Amino acid sequence: MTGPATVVKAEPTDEILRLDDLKVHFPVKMPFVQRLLQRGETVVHAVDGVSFGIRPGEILGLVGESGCGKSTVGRACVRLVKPTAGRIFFDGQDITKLGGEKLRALRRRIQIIFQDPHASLNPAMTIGKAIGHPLRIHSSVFGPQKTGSEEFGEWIRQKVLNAMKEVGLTPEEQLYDKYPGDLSGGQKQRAVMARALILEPNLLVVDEGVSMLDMSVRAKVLELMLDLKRRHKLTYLFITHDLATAKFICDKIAIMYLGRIVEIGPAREIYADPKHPYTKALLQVIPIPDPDRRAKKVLPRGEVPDAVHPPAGCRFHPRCPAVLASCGWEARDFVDFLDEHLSDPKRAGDDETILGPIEDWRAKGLVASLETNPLKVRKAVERTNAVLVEAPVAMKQAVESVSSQNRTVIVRFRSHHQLLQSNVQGRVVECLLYQ
Amino acid sequence: MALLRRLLFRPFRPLVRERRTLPGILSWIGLGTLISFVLIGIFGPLLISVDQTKPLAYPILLSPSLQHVMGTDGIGRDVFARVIWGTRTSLEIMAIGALLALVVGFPLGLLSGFVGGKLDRLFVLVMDSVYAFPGLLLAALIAAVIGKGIFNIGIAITVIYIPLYFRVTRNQTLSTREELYVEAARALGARSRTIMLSYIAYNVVIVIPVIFSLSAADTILTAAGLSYLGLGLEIDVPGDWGRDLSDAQRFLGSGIWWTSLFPGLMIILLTVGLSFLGEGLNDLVNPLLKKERA
Amino acid sequence: MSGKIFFRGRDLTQLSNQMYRRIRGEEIALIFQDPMTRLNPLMRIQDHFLEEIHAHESVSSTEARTRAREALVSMGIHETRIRNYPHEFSGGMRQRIMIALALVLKPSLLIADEPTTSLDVIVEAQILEILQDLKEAYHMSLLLITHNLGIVAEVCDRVAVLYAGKLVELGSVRDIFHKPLHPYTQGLLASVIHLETKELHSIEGSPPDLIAPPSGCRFHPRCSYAQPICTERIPPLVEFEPGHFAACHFGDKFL
Ligand SMILES: Nc1ncnc2c1ncn2[C@@H]1O[C@H](COP(=O)(O)OP(=O)(O)OP(=O)(O)O)[C@@H](O)[C@H]1O
Ligand code: SF4
Ligand code: SF4
Ligand SMILES: [Mg+2]
Repeated sequence: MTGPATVVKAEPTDEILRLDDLKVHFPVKMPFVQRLLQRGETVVHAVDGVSFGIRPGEILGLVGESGCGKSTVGRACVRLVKPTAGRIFFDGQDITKLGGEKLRALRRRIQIIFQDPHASLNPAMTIGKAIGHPLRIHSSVFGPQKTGSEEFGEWIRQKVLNAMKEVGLTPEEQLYDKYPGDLSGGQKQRAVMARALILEPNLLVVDEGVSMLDMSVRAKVLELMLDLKRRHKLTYLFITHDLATAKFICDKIAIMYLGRIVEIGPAREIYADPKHPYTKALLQVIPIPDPDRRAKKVLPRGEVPDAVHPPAGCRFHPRCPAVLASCGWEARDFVDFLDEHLSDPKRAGDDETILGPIEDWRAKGLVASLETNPLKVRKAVERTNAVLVEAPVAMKQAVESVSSQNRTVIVRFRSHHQLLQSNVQGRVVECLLYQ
Repeated sequence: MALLRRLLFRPFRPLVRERRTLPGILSWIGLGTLISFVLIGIFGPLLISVDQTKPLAYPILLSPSLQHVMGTDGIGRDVFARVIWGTRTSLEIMAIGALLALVVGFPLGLLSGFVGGKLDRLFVLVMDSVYAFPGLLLAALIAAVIGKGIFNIGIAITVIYIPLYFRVTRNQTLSTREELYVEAARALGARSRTIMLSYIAYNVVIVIPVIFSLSAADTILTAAGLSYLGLGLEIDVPGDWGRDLSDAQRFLGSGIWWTSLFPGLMIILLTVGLSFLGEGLNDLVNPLLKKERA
Repeated sequence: MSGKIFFRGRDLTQLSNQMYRRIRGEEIALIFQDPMTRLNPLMRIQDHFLEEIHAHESVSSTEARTRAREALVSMGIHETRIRNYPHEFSGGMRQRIMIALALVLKPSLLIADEPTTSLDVIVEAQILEILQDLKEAYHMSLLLITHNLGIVAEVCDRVAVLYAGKLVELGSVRDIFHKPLHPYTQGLLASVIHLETKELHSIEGSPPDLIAPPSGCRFHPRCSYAQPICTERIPPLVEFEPGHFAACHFGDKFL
């Protein structure tokens, strides 16, 4: 895997959470026969080399499109998924491989809130019971009295009622014995927050914690989060795809694309002046609620590619509006382009008979090839060159040669530049434009 | 203990909450029938002497009268007494069969679904092969091997229903295991045991009364079937609906209806009652499962 | 159900089912939030198009196939993929296929119900751009149903605001965003979180129960301007300025 290299200086700072080149790969579910036929292992590169740190009392926003791996990062931080590689430090301690009682102890200090408050609550447990359950789970540490005694139950009840009041889940006495099904969405989200907070954690991972709430409730929950941050110096990893909300609440922002962080830095600076072309694209598409400020946008082409085979070099290169010749062009980009070309009857002319069908092209790393009959080879090379004239400039420049070998047409790309992270005006960007 | 109590009561919550809906009414009718039979099974034999169920206790083939409300049968036994004592027999078989199947099938299904992996695959393989066998045939085979008697028949029937409990419990466990609240519990630091009991078992147990009622209804029929085939109980059991029905068959042609009608009616009433309960609960529980997530 | 729906001067509620089906499709097309509600997972994309065309027009198969291909290509999907099944496309592509399918009969009105809610921001912007281009190219009217005010500001010409099943305000997009007359519209606009949000606002309370809606103005339990009259009388929809309607007893206060 010639993935982008990562430069990390893991200096032991005052950071409460530090991810160090974290990778999480999931096996792809495949029918047995196909698995036998496939050489090598096929995995989803859900998270593929992510590093960042959060300082106490800070809110770090993790932003990106669906499927880019945000939730997986969040789940890895609370150790709900096993990291494939890399390390996670919490409060200076390496928690990557923690297990058993030590992991349970850790979970008192890191909590996670999921997007769907309804699904996060056991339908068969009353709200009071659910909020107090963490205390029972960790009773050996918390219980000043013997577990199961009357006082212990009463102590928990008081703590639960306090927590409910704190998150604004009132009237707490009445809601205590209700079941989740009896509560509204906003109330359920508050209950989930109360449950997460009752252990007084240091770090709270909020995975799309407000996305499902309607506007008026969302505002209240966000205010509650800010309030808790101020009063308890709570630290957040705030995962969202909503850049506007992230801007409002976060101190720092990390923009993720296809398993990697492409830009990370202070929120204010990134929003004022995004550097990475992907960040620029994302910020540009946030609709402005003002009809007088409509503007034509320069949108990236296509959609997020498959994380099973992420693009070489910079993963954004097939869509990047600012792409350079050195960004990672490879054989399959050419085949995709050719496919597009051939499917437009106006442009294709008789190219199809010479260069098609597209299925006959082989793309392997930097080399695309087409086996054709010896008589047609010369013509095919000619045509390939002609088609390339219409290709995006950067792709054209990245082609090293178009040649023929016996009966095979070969399009060879130059190898791309090593992609590094650079410090640009107070933030870290992973883009060749800034190297 | 508190947990056990809640586990036991949880399945019946919908019965109370939805009592006015059609499935609710159906379940209550079924429950009423079941309770009546249980009462008859417990108190009936206390009131009616076992001697009346013995051969040659009375003249044969008396038609129903005040003395013998359901008449007497081909070998001079009082049909009413046989039917009442037969209730006890059937309930005993049902209790042994369905309960034993529950006690074995439920935890196995829970474990298999929760632990997963090789253990799960092994269990599923075994259970599926048992399940693939026609029920009555399997029970007949087992009965032929381990011999007659209430307890043995109960065991033979248990073996048929364990896979049923296992499958339903396992599937329910598998889907519950994927619920976000289970992951949330793990993130809270809950131990596997806590998760299995407080989160999974608790949400799986709700389907148990459904299978219990349905399999119990089936048990009655299977037991009667075995007896009918002559593979069931010893000859001196004081009441056996299936065998009585089988014995009565040859008199039907001569217009003697009472010896077959009453045992037959009992079988039908009890199975229909149990089916009502099962189907009603199924309708109650399934939308409830959905509604609780919606 | 009561009321009337006029389309090109004809009351749709009076039409026979058959006529209605004809109009829906040929003249009025619909797209939904989830494309899979319309795409049959067992049918190739091409067959979806052919079915749609043949149901409404008697054209040769060749012609129908050409039209299907054109529609697909106009949505930026390679025509080579016309023989694929729906699950072989990404969410954004499926949504584009849905639009292509809706447009293949060249309707004069397209009703889009939350067409981008399930999509990513960038794909959302792509789809909205396509819809806008189509509006111009085909001279088509668009009824966009959404809860995303940002999209409304970017795409729409006129806006109707609904609250608890009632139309509360109707006007040009500028009127609505710059001079909202109804307190609900005002609250809604204030609660949008956008890039310049410095302070969060929200409308107190929660949407009412529609089985027993509040008396008078349905918004009164949540309205900070509510007066006794609001609980008693249903405010009529009044034209406060040319083309700008609102259903509030005190709409003129906000002019
Ligand atoms: N348990 C899993 N097994 C296999 N693949 C997974 C698993 N969890 C996530 N993935 C894959 O990993 C990638 C990243 O998923 P993840 O849920 O982290 O994305 P996300 O950024 O949170 O997206 P969204 O905004 O849609 O929530 C996706 O391609 C997803 O399909
Ligand atoms: S490295 Fe920068 S310029 Fe090159 S493709 Fe990636 S984002 Fe675009
Ligand atoms: S009519 Fe009254 S309650 Fe309704 S919006 Fe206007 S001021 Fe508010
Ligand atoms: Mg996610």
